[in-house]
Amino acid sequence: MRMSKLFRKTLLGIIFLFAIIFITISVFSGWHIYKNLVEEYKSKGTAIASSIASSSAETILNLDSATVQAMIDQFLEIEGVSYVFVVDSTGEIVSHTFVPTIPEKIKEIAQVHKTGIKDVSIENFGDFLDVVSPITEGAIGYVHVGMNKNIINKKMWNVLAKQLTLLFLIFIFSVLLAYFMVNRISQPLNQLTEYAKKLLAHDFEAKVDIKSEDEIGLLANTMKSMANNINEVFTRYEFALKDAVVELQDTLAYLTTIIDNMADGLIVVDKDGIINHVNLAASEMFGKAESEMIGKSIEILGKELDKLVKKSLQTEEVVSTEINLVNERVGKAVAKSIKKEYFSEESEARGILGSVILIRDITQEKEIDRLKTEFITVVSHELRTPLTSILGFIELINKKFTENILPRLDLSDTKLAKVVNKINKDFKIILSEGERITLLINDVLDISKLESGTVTWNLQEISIKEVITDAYKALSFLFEQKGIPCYLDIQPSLPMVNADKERLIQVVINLLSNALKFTEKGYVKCQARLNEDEILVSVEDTGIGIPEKEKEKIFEKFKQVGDLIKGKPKGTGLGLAISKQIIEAHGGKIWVESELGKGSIFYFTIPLTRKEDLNENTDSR
Amino acid sequence: MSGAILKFFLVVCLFLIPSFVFAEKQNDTIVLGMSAAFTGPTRGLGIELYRGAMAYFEHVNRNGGIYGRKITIKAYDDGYNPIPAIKNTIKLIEEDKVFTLFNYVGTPTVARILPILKSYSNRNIYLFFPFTGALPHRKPPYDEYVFNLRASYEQETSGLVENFIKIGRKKIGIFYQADAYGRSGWDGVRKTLAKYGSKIVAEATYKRGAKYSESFKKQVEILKNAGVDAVISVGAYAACAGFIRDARDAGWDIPIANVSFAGSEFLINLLLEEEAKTGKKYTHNLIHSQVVPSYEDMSLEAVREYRTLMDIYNPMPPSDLIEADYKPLKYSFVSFEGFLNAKVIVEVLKRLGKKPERKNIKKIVESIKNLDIGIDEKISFSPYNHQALNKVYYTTYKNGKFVPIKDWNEWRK
Repeated sequence: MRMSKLFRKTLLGIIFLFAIIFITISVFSGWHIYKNLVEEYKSKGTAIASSIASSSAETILNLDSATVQAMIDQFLEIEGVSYVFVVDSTGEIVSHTFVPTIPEKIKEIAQVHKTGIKDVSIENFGDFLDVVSPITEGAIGYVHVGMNKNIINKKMWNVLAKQLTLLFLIFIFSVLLAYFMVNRISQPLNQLTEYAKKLLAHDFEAKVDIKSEDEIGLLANTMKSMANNINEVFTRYEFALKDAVVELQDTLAYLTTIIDNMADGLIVVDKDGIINHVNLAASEMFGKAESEMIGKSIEILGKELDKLVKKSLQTEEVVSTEINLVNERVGKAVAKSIKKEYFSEESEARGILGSVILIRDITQEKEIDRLKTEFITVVSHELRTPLTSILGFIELINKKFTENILPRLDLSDTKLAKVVNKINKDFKIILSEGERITLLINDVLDISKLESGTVTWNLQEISIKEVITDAYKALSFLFEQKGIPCYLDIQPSLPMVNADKERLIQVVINLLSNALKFTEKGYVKCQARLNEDEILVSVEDTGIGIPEKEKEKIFEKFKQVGDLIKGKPKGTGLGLAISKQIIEAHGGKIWVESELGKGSIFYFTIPLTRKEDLNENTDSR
Repeated sequence: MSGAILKFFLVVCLFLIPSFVFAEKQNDTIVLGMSAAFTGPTRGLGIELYRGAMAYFEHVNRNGGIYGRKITIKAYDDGYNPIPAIKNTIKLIEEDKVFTLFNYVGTPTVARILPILKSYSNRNIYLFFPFTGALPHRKPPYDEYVFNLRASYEQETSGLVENFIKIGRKKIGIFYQADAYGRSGWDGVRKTLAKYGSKIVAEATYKRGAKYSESFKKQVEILKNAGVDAVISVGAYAACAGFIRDARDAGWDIPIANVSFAGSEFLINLLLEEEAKTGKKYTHNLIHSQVVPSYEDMSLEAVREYRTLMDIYNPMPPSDLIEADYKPLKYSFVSFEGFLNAKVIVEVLKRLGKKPERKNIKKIVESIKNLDIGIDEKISFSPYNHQALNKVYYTTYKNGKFVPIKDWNEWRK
């Protein structure tokens, strides 16, 4: 039978305790018994000695040793008495009980006439307490009684042996008692332990049979109900998990179907740029099977895509680029990083797990755009040539009318005067409209050139201050004419930028003239600031402002603020589109902040360190 | 206790059946109480003393008794130990209502019953003729309750010492029983030596009850190493024989003298057995002092009578008192002493008249003067002398007999 640990510990405890008790009791009782026996023997010896002494005086005086001998023999029978002898006043031993003869040591002792008790050790004879009692104060002699010390030891050990036997029996009894008691406690504990082990192995059907009403019974019941609870919870979660899995599987099926059947290509890469998902459209676009792409670096799909992914993995923003697809097709790739909501600060990727790249085949759109630009260019060119002729002839006609016809007419004739006046007016309208059309065509040509990338940039180190002041000079008379002040606020000692000066002047003129155009009262303010690694230029007005929904549109081609049907268009509507093209070509940005009815502020930036974009963009187009 | 009493009662009844047969009344018998060694190493003394006394009592009883009364001995065994002796004495007085105490054996036993006699002095309990030569019952305060026939150990040892000194053996050692008996002999030797201005050269003791089979080599060694010229041995026959055996075995041939209590025949018998066994000689150079004349001396009337009566009656103690293996001696100094004791007590009982009363005992005994009991010495008692005989006889064992020593020069140094 397995001995429980509890019992083993208890047993050890008992043994230890008993060992202490054994030793303590043994030492104490041994000492006590020894002391008592010695005391007892001393008093016994003293009693015997004085008894002999008191009754032997006369006989010794009678010189009757035999009577003395008879008396001392009598006392020799008393337990513990080893010898008795009587010395007379001369120191001669007149009676003794020694066999076979008087030891030498005793002869010595006999000469010492001293009452009391002393220890005597006689070789081959033993250890004794020599009790001396005087007869008639020593005048007649002395009685010596030898009490056996060896008997004391023997008796002591005898008692100790009995005591230890008794203790040992008690010990055995205690161990048995402890065994039964501990067993009663440990048996249910063992059962509980087994039960707990089964629970640990998820065997919730296991049974434990403890019916006692003590703490262990309580524990058993608690464990039972705990097991039931756990079982219930487990079952519930199992079902919930199944539902969740089914739901997830459904969702996955949906998503997979959607992704795989998307017209756009979809590629997912991890944070190291390794492709881990590709849809059907994407594999068609790159002319590679899914298996050829998964697990490979995005590099295999071209330099542009690789660059895009790397950029995407470093930012949370959406980045895009155009890429070449198979069969000389062109695609637009949009990449967005996948980011965990919670991430530890130390992680290098800052929670970015990878990137999703969506690719759309834009070959057709590109072609349409190209055709449109080409069309506009051709049309504008074809329009401008005859228009120049028309305007030339109109000016010639007007000159001839003014110089040759008008002086010959009688202007007193009111009717004729009216007609002349009308003709003059019409001439002016034809001229201004002609100029406007020319301007429009120029702008269209301009933007076409910009869009088609056929512009040649005259890049050199220029000062923004010069750009702004030059632009203002060109428009200053218009401001004076309209009576609107224009404030220039240029930060001193702005660094030089590498840019096309004429083009930037064109942008600033556009912005200032727009500001003036829409401002009836108040002012226009142009500012230039160094903002980190770029120069920020703003043009502020106190005009009508731009509605929120218009803000993005105004940078598109042929868009102007206000109702185009009601209001007479003042300009070509291409100014901001051109400005945008120019600024972006310089690697900067252009945007507007506005509050309707209060005014607008147009901003653009020119980076100090020129990126290669300008040239690259030029190349890629 | 009651069982013991019952058993005892039955024994008494059995013992008394013959008395009832021959006598009609209880008081037709004079009962004498005896406590002695009937078992153990000194059993021979008790048994032979009883036999010698009973031989004479039988003779008296068969010849009309004392005024028609028969004499019997109520005997108990004390094994030569004081405590049984005390118990026996009380029993004899209280239960058996004995007339007087008679034929006790041994000094340690007798020395211890003396206070009992004193305590019963109002009832006139006397002890007659104990088989011991010790002083305690020969000196106050107990001498008045005891009557002795034999000479004292002091007289025996004194004679031995004087004789040894005469032949030039002045360095005397003593071997004795470590009790009152031995001490009596020791005291006698010491006092005699003191007269000559010398002391006991060496002494060795043994414990009472020692058996012949025990070793006495240590005692021999002690005395031999002390260079003694002669050894006086005061002991029981078993121990004395053992001592002689070990002395002779050690090649020590000095004269060894034994006192009367040794029971010469028993001692010699043990040594003869040993001689038969080993082929060595053990019985030479031994001196035995006796307190009665030799039973070989046919010139004495008492010896003749003793031999006759012993031959006729050869009495034995009750069989439940003795051990079956005991072989009685035909004659011995001990039984002869018992016989003489019996002769004197019979005379005392006769003198007490038809109606003996204990209160008269002392007066009657003390009035005996010059009584002839058939030996070479007359019996006299007086209030100051409770010992009748004073003569000591020295014998030695030669040619299978104890013969009186005529010339001590045999052992001259």
